[in-house]
Amino acid sequence: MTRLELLAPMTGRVVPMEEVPDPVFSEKMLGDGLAIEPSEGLAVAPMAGSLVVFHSAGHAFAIEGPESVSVLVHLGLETVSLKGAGFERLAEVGDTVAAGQPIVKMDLAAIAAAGLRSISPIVLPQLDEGWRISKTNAATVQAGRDVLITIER
Amino acid sequence: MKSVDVEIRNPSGLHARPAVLFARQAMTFKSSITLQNLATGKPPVDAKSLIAVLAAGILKGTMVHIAAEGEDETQAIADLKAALESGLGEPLG
Repeated sequence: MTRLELLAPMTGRVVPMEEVPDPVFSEKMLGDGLAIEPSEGLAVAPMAGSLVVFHSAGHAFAIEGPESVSVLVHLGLETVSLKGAGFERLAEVGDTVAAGQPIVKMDLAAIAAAGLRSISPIVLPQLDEGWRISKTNAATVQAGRDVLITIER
Repeated sequence: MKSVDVEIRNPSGLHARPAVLFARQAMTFKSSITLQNLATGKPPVDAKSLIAVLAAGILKGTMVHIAAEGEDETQAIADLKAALESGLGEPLG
């Protein structure tokens, strides 16, 4: 049995994916997962691996970890439109990262001032069949400390 | 093997929403399909992998090369070209 634990990449309130007000996430077009309504702007790596995606606008990153499992963290909704404003990059594509390593800092006040939502979906895109996903029951999580999602096969 | 070059005109490139729509459409074909970012010179990636499409870093104005090989390659290239040119549901800049 293989078991992988994904840490909460952000500190805040856990929100079911179905409640994210953007159908690309709520309909799980990108994959299953959970969202976090962050109370702090720092986003860390949910697992160890390679930083394979880090959008030039700073609002989305993906880590490929063991067993070809990838996790995508999308900071806020429609935040690509900010073209990087409000995001401070703390890592770069190609970096090998440790679980809990800081990746990007989102300025929550700037996101709100731009009229955008900072709720951040964490998804497992194209997860192979056979993995069982279990999600935390906690109402709030701490970045880099609490397990958000566990997958097993 | 069939292929075509297309310029991406989505205002924010192939970020999450258009990227997933593109990858999902690619998945509907039996052919193996690749997507190459012609601006970076990086090798072609699997067009059916969302992470690979996102990792290709395709921005507005980027020329991409789509190639398909398999029994439905002609249809795949025609449909994917049309999908990219239509903006994958987004207004084009």
